[in-house]
Amino acid sequence: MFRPEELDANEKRLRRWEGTTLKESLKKQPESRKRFLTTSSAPVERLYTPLDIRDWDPLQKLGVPGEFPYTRGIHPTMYRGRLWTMRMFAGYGSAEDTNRRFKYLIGHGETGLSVAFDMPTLYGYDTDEPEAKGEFGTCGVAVPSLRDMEILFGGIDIGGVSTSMTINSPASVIWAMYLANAERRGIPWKSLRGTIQNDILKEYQAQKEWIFPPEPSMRLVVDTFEFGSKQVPQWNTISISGYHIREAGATAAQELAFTLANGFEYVRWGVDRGLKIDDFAPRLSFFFNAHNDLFEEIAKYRAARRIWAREMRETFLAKNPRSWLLRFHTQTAGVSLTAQQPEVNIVRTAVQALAAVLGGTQSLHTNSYDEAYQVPNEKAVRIALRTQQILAHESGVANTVDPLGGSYYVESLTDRMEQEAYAYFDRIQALGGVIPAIRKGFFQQEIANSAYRYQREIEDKERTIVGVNDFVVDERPEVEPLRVTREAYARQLRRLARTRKERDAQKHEGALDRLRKVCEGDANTMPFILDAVRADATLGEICDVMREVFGVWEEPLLY
Amino acid sequence: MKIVDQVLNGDKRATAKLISMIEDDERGASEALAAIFPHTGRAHTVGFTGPPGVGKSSLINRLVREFRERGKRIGVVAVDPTSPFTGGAVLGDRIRMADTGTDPGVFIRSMATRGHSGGLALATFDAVKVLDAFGMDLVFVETVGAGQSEVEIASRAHTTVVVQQPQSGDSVQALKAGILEIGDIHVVNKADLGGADAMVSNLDFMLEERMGWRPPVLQTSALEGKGIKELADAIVKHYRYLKAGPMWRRREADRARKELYESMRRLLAETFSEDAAGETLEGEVAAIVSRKTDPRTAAKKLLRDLKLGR
Amino acid sequence: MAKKIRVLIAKPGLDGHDRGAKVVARALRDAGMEVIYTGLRQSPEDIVEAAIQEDVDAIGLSSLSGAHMALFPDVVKLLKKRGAGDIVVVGGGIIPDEDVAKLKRAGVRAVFGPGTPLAEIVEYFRSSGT
Repeated sequence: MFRPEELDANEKRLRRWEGTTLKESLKKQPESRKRFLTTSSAPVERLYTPLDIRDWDPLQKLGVPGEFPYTRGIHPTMYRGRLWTMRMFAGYGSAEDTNRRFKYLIGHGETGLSVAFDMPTLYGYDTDEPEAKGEFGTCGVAVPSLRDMEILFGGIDIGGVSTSMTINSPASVIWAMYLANAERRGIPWKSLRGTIQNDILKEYQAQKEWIFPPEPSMRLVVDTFEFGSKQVPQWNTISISGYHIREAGATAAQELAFTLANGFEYVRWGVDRGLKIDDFAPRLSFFFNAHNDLFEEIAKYRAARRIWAREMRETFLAKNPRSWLLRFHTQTAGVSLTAQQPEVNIVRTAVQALAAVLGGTQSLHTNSYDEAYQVPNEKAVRIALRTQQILAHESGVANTVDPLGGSYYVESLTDRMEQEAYAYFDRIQALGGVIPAIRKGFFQQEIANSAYRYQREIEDKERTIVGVNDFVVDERPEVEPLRVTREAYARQLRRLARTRKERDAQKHEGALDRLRKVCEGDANTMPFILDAVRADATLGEICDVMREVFGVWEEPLLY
Repeated sequence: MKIVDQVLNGDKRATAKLISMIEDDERGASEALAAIFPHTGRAHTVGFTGPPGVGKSSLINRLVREFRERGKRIGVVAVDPTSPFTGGAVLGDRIRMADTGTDPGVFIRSMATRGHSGGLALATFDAVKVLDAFGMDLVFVETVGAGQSEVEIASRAHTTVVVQQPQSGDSVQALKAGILEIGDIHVVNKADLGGADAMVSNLDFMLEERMGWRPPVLQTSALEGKGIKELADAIVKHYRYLKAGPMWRRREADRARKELYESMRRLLAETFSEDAAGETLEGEVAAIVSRKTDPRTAAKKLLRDLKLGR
Repeated sequence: MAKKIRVLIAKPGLDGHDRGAKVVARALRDAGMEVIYTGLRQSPEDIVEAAIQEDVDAIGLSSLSGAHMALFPDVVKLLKKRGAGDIVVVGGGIIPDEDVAKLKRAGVRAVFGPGTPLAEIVEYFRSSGT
């Protein structure tokens, strides 16, 4: 905290500077723009001084790393102890294709796995269903059966490496396949580490990959909390994700606010189920975006940790400090990648990754430069991974904890981000909470408004995007194409047909019947999903049972 | 006219094109309307009004499905507002009516108000006529539902359904004056939100029988598909009530009168905005400004001098 | 009354990324057009049916999931089959160059990749509607 006389002196000095040095400078060289904005269109001042954080108390706002409120980081030593996990989101074509890609990445030094599923899998359809037409393996890997899961992780030490799976509406089914695969390989569940995204709320708000209505979806999520806390204690049963909210067009503050509001909603549902908060809260994890504006992003991560710790301790009365920790994964902003001069995406991604590291991320995915065209090719992925390795081993930014702590600018941005988040919490509350606000289209509307404003700023040249609206060249970009082969598709169809033919029909039917009954009641679905998976029921078949019982969600009005 | 024959033969593309011709007031539109007019008057027109966000589109979506199961063919005209600043519009009602997809017995048309007030577009009821001639048994009209007085729908449709949702607090006090009178059927949608029972009994208490029809108050949940059969039954019941007594003809006459007046007003306005009449008009304007005459006297003179019915 | 340009903006297939589709829909509205937005997960059959009933001048298809080759040409084919081959079909999204050529051969009149200025898209629809 600054002493009053200190602030006075600062203020006097600043006024004098404005009247003399600054004034003369502006006369000679006016500023290039009327207003300066962050990527989120928030105004940025010329200079930040102690006056911008007048009542700021470092002991209260920052504390020390590894202690409440964790603004500076969740570990006392941060990256000096262990670097962040370099986890590249990967998946395309069949399980064989993606298994090869995993091994390639591990061979080049990645330290955690992350699975991208194809659209039919994300929506709970098998490859051979009519809804899946044209979508096989195009933006992720198809995993409609346990057999695919076995192939996907064949020859990979899943007892040793941690695996993140970006799957939401059918998360419990895909997780059950992962667990059943471990079981068959004799790997105890207690040793498994990883994450299922399982964040259905942001699907309704932003990513739009939903199946069921909110209430049954939330029940499935809480089922995984309950099951995981007992049976798979090292697994993160959810990754509460701002990434997609941001990609859909939200500002940094909206990303922060909506994600944390969703987080609190999951906590409430868990508590309402009768779970002890300290039994499941330590397994809640987060996932944020890293967009272009370096300082704004860093402030967002710092504010997120502080808000979560405070609310978990003071509002939800969690006692275990592990429940207060906001642990998060970061992905650089896919939406920022340009199709024009794609190679410069490497530089964009490096700056975004830097923000994530300076903001104290636990794991990181860096996008490949060719992703405005396709699922990345091998070379592009390797460069993206190398970007992280340069940050980790050459740049020196990992040598000390929270190097920007105490910066007038970053601290005032962190405070502002926090205030904006609380203002949104109030608005959501006034609408009746997260799910009623989804039904009213509140989040969807806020996000669409921000997306439109951002695009207009580019059109009006208020915002420069290199290679798009300035520094343009007239050349055809060269991107080595990556294609899903017809053979992979044919093989996939054959595999599904064989699974359906060879399985024990009676066992299969019985397992689905039992699953239907449990869905109609209120017992935990996880053991029954596991049984269905063990009986070789496919993803589509299991989700069909749930669709019949739970119904399907329809999008609320948009404009 | 070829396009009229096509519409009468059940050609969807031609039907859609004719509606556009009318909306854009293209050459030939009024002739085509005249040609289809003898083939109209059969469809039961049902208007849906109520504040935005109460779920009118979802309710219509469910009703369309219900009436399809009963073997009826359904047209829908869904009206959304035009932006007064840009003249453009995003028409999103269709999203909520996606269930019927490619069903040949359903025709959904989104329409922007294009500056017309009262929750409808100028062309809305001409489009209803086209859909009637096309062979639809029922035509649903969804109004904008934005704040404004929406009584126009009641004078145009055979049956008016007023849709609301449960409100907290003094719900009945919050009801807009006038909305009670126009409803032949009242619906409290989103019954899944709770508080619907109180709302229904409050409404029920305030409604009275008029000319042998007591407006029923129904609960629905478009989300869960509840109360839809009952609402469909009520719509059919109201139709039978209209047909059984003098009311159908009376409503048709009300509508004809309104449309006649409207056509006269439009013709008159067009006459004056066209060619030579414009000069005459300006002459009178100048006379009024210089206090040589007054607006009323001038109007009488103009109408007397006018050769109408060219 | 001047003829209004009517455009259908649709998301075929399973892809839920609707940021671009919505931004384009708004830009067209702001340019004075009437935009029918069909929402997510539309089959080519649904899209063609809606386009016919709404009597649109053009259809904008958006896909970022890589399913464009399977879905966009189907829309063109179905329109022709229904006697509505005059409705202009354009596409947008994550679409590799070699696919752009193929889509154009299949009758998709224009493809707008990432970074295309809104003004260019608006102008295209304006000229195709008159």
